[in-house]
Amino acid sequence: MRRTPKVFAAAAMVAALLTGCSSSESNTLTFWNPLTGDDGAYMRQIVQDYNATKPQYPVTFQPMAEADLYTKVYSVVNAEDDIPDVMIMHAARIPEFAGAGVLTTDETLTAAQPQLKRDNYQETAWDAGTVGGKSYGIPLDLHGVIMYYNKDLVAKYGAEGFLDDKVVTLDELATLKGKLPPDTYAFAGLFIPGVVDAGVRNLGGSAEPQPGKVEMTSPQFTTVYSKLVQLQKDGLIAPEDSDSMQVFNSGKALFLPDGTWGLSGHRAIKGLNFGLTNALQMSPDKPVNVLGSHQFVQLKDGSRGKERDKAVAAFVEFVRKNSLKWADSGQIPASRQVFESPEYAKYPQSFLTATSEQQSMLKIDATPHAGFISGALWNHSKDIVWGRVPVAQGLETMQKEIEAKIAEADAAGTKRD
Amino acid sequence: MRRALRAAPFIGPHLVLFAVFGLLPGVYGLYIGFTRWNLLGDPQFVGLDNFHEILFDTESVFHDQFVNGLVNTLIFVAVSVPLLIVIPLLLAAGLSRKDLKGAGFFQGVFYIPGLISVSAGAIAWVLMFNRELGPLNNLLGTDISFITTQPWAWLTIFVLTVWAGIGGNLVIYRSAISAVPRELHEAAQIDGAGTVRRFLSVTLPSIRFPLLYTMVLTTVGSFNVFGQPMMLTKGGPNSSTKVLMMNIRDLAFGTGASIAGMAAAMSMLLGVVLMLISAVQFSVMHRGIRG
Repeated sequence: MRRTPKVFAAAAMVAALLTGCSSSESNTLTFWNPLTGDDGAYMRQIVQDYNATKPQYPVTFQPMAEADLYTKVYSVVNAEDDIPDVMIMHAARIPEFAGAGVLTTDETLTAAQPQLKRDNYQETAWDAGTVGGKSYGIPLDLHGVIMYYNKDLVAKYGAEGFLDDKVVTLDELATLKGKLPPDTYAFAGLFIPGVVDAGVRNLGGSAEPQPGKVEMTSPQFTTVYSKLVQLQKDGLIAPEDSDSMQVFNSGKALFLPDGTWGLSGHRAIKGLNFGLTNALQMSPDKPVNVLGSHQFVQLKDGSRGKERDKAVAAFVEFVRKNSLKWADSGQIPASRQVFESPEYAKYPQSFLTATSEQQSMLKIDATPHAGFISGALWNHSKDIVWGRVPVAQGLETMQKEIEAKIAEADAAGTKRD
Repeated sequence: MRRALRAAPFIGPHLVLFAVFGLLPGVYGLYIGFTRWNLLGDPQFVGLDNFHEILFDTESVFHDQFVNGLVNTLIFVAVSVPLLIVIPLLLAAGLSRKDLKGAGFFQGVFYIPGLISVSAGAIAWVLMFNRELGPLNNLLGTDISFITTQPWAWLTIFVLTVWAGIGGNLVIYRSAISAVPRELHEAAQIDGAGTVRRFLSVTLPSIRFPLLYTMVLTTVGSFNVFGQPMMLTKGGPNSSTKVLMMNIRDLAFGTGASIAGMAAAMSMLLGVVLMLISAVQFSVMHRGIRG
């Protein structure tokens, strides 16, 4: 019993030491990221490779679920403690955090490593980290929903012609009506919001054409959803309650709109003979690939010294030169040195940046309220496509929901002191 | 005073934990409910605006979300609480039979699902309910899309809830039933009471305190439902299983900027509903104990 106070004292001391040992005082760099899937293993390897160069400040790889990552950002920003040295943020969230005044511009990093500049990156990816003329992020990659296709099924059902121009349209898929057996589908629809996003852009529309002005009820949205409803009624989209990955991987769907990140998963399926092409479109004219981008950003932290910032810059520069491994995850490295290299040309996703024409098709959703729009699309798309809600009513609901959230968010959007 | 000091070491740790993880967040949450805040800038005090909009502005999206979420939560509570009381009670009564062998083993079998996380349990049940591959449709010879059509979507939620939730109450009821004096049962038996009569007239009145206690806790837990609809139906079809906690989380920690003030106001209103219902239950409980 006498030992109890000593045990408590020791525990208290350890707790105090751990609490006091913030990231800004340790000799390692804390690197938060949302890479919890297959892609996390590749980034972990890149970090290990960097640490093997024996830098003064080795990097600690800290992956966490996307929702947890942003929740933790709220916590550490308010506590002004345990702020990571560097983190990966989705380009779509940068306007929110930059607007709230919690992000540093990338000037410190670019000053320390002059090669961290727009010329050395894919321009669309670089520009996605820019808000109000100031650059806050250095891009790691581009990633998003493109189109996978089953080569054997496409040949079997005479759909090779769809791929002639590397652009498959909803109208082309509609021609498969009546040509497929009951348990085989034109496509499996896990990523309906991605299809809608690309379709609307392809028609020249946009969910948020001007900051704060939302147009979910536009003719473009109505057209895209109406086409999808018809495809669903014609039995061309795999059932809502089916597992889209399983449907495609088991050879029950010709096409699958899926993320670039899904590449390694599909590659693991024995006997699946598949290819990649541009995202599903409404029209072959002016096709677009609407992607996202992981960006290296830094949260403001008064206690982080210049030495640590230089060390972060050295790490980001290492990634710029050594992110070919990142392509193994299916993502498109944003570094020009990597995506223009002959080694990268062997990767199936390399077609997305192979020519200037392909690069001009790249769009990044980083409008100020992209998060609200994405949330609404995910919440309501299935109800519309599977006919539980009429198209016009569903779009009106989304419009109202997003407008209400924007009004609240913008009214609350004061900068931190 | 000395007595209070003597009690302090015993009550202290819990009091500290309650204050840090219960009281302080609760008070802070109440404060946030009176603000407009994105969790990053400076909160703006807006008085009762959030509460007024949620409760009375029928044109407001947040009013619709609150009403829809609360109705769905009440449906969940109204169905799941009786199930989580009656099923464990009947199982406990059955397992308490003296002539039953392996009662402990079966109690363990019923208790184990409660130790499994809702997420893991939901993944298993999603496969069970799968229209094409799941055993349920195959056994019944049906082609029901359980997750995406009503009333089946609710059914999947209740099945997961009962599967995961009966163990805790079952243990409490078995313990309470085993403490009922055997003489009472023998006297009732001599008076000619059968099994059902003895259960209703001897067992139930004898365990009324644990019964009411579990009723209050189960009700409170059910109002905070989140994991089951989130994992199974994602609130669908057409938001018909979207419970209030899902709307609150969506607003505070959704895909865009946080709307923490509105979310906190909704959670406070849910708390008020909970307090009112708990007060009624406690009042009934005390009356029952005195009676």
